[in-house]
Amino acid sequence: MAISRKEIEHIAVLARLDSTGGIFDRLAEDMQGIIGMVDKLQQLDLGDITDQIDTERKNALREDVAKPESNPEELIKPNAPDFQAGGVAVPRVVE
Amino acid sequence: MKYEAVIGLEVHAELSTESKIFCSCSAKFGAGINTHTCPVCTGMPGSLPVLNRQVVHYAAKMGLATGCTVNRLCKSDRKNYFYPDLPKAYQISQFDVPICENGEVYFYVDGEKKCCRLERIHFEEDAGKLLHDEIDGTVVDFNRCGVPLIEMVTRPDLHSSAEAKEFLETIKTTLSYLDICDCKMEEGSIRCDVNVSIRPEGSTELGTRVEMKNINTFSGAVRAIDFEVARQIDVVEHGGTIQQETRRWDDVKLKNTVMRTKEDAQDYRYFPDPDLIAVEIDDAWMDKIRSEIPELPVARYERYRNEFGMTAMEARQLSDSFAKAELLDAAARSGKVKPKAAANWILSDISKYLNDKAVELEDTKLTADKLIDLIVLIDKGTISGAAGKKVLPAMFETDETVEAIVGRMGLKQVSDEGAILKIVQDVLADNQKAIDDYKAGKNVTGFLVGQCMKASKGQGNPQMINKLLAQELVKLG
Amino acid sequence: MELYQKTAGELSALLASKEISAVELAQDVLARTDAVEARVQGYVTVTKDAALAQAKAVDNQRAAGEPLPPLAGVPVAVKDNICTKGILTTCASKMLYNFVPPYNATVADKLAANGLVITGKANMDEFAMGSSCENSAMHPTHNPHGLDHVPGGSSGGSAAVVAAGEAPISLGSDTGGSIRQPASFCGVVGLKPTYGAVSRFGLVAFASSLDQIGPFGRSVEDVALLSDVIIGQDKMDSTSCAAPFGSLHAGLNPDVKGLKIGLPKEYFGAGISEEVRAGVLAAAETYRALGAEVFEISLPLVEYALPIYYILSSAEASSNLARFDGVKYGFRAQGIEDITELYVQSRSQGFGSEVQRRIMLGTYVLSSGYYDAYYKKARAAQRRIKAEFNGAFQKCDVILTPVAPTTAYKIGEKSTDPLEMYAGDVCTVSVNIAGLPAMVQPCGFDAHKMPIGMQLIGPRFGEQRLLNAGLAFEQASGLKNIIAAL
Repeated sequence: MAISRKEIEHIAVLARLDSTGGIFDRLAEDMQGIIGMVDKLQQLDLGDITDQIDTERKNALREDVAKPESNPEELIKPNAPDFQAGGVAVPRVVE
Repeated sequence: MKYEAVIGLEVHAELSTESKIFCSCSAKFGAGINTHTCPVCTGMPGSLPVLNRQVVHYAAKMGLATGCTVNRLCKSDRKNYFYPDLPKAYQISQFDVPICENGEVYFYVDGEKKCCRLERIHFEEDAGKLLHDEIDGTVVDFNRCGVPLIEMVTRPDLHSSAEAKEFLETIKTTLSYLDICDCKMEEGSIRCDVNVSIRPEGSTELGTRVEMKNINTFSGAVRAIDFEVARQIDVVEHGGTIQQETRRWDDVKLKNTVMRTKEDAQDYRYFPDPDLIAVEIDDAWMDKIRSEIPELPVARYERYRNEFGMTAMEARQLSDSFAKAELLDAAARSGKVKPKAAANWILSDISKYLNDKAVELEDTKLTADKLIDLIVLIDKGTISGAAGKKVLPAMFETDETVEAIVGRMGLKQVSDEGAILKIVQDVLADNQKAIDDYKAGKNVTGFLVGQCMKASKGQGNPQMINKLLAQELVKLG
Repeated sequence: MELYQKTAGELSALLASKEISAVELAQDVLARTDAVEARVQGYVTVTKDAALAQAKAVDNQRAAGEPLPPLAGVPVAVKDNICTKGILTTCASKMLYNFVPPYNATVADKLAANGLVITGKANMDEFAMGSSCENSAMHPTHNPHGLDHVPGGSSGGSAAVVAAGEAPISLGSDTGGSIRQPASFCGVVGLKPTYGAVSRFGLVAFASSLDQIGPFGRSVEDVALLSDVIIGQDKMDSTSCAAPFGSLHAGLNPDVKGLKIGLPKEYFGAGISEEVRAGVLAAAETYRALGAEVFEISLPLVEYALPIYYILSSAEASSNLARFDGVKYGFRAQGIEDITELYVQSRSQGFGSEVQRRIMLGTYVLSSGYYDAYYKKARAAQRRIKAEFNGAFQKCDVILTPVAPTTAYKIGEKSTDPLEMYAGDVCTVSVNIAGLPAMVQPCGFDAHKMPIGMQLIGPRFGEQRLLNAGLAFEQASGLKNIIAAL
């Protein structure tokens, strides 16, 4: 399936990647080739084999037991680009 | 032209598990910011989810209680979208194989029994909370991330805001009967999205639907539906067409506004979560879940109406509360008291006490046995009904038996005929004027009974006083 | 012979008999690192002080007479996508340039519990996407056997430091060949365990259904020893499962008489260089001489393996890497007032171009209208590939194939054309698609003295069979403990 520049830009929007910068032209070009490569799969006739729930293993479940509270100053703050008022801060989000 | 509203609901209920759905952080509401967090629920690199068994258990329980088929094999899927309250940038949910499908929920609207079909119930994780008042920007609290939810999706079977409200109330009561959700609306334990369309009355085609979000209360749902139905009729009446879109309800301004149109519909790119494996509910597990489901509110309501002869309002009030209904049924099952007598106590004095003290029945010391003892004591004449009301507070608050409370408070009724006769005769002897009035044809019974009660310090059996007084007066000729 | 030149097995014995101390050993390995690292550049971070402290702790325990596991005191390098508490874990990406995990990966806990001494975090292709280590945002790693050659990837650093004597053993991860191809290029032994055998908790995910952590060493024995440390079910990883075997090291047995070895003809066809083909076929002859039954089999679906692999792995990657959004940790683009723009700029500036390509492909194959044709079909085809391998293992015990079409190529030679790079994965990706174990070890050298590797593939949990067959070849060929001269 050929993919249009518009579609590639739409995919970039979904993926939250910049579709305006310089490297995007190259990326869009590469995408054509890569999609051509994966399109080979369309030649494979799978007969009645379909995707289904994998049942090789089932029920990796944990018991409902809660652990004590954690300290966000230790868990979150050290790696946060912007930590304020006990949490990570981001530009104002309008809901 | 007359229009019919067609309404479907998506109801989210937070499950009252101890820990979150995919990690062992506490799922409780109200902790300090980001103190219920760990690498898993904050989406740190390399962390992996492990499903909480209780979530599967609770979701299947709700499915059975709403007549769903429980899929013995189901899976988890990822719903991908970016938002600051979603730290992994995907929500783990269920897509094409939910845990429960094809249910039916029955409820009453103005005495008429209605049914709303459930398309599905699935489990998923809640998102975090964005705080806008702390700083100039937005701060993210991840405490709610990973709190388990079930989402219940109805078919478009509802046709008015009143039906929607009764459906929601039934869902809430059922969740509370199953003890799988704390149903605290103010903490967001139950939330819903509403899909509304209209069609000409008599038509069977579905109109273009509008989804409404941000509905936080059941009364809000009523207002939102009424507004949207009116809005759609207005659009159509003025020659317009309804656009498929998502609108945001504002329960303060009492109107909705467009959030998203069909064109910018999200593409969530659902796919099976490769970090989780299939969930299978075997027969033994299924039996266990089934065994935990009590008689449900609508069934109790019908039984109270049909077997106990209660009014619609009485039956509704009793069946709405699992604890009250259990209390009533235990009393009735004992065979020692009339169900109606137990119901009267529960609906009046017991409910009043609970309301006044703002406590839940299950948090008090009142038991069915105590209630039975109380009613039996009254029926036997050991205490008066009025004395019973005085005994009640101690029944909620102490471990004493009813007999002990009655004894301690000196409320035991005097029903000894000789003793009462003595009192009656003494009262008559002290009240010559009343006897004169009686002889003159005046009604003095009330006065004399009052005097007898006073003389017995309130413990005389009133029926017996009445009987013996009448007998003595007759003798006086 | 210097200590850094010894295998982990040899060092284990020297440590146990107290002929050497863990501190002496760590100092020697760190000295070797000091001497060669500027040329190899196999590490993102060398944890010199922590390593010496760990070594000292092990020596103290031994002095106190505590019973210690076999690898206590042995240095190990860890790929930089495996979370190490308090130690920078970058995935060789600008996106995580400053990320210090507040938790350990389960395998890192196991290393610590077994007294291994972490020498540092090994370089890799960014987020494990690549086959040459050139996609590292830090620096490329050089092949110790030819410094102008690539070490392979994505675990190029883990393979290179072992080949260079900067660590006797290391951990890598393998999603489509990322342990095996660099093992082949660097002339070391690498094992990709059965999917689920090793916990993925704390491994920064590339493609969750394909990723697996595995060991590198310069001998089959060393790989068995390190496998024993890391294999085991973990309640923190739902996809992990209990292996139906005990110690692989204890089970080593180089007898291959009667072993049925299948040579899938499709793996030896066009595209495989003459030297690689000849090297692997010569190994087959060695096995024949050792009494194994060697015969041709057919695995025709290998032709579809690359599309299936690139669809599945990219789809999962697009979702797994969505969490790198500039909000919670790692790189955040500066001077931005809008949340969407914060996402876009942080991700576009933080991810390298190969990662962005994979995210784009993965987003595309999952997107509305394309899901069925790509992702869903690839999942169904995955079942066919599994069935095809199951059928093959009805006929043979292990499968012998080349690892890559060529030996290590020159830095920069293939880095401009992604498709050419992807084609190099053709011999390795099927193993991940089918969830099977596979081991790579050296079987010779090409005309430029670059190592040639061979791949042994086993059925699910056939690790012991692979190690035993590998040991037999290692003993017969003498191709063991090859350290680049440098």
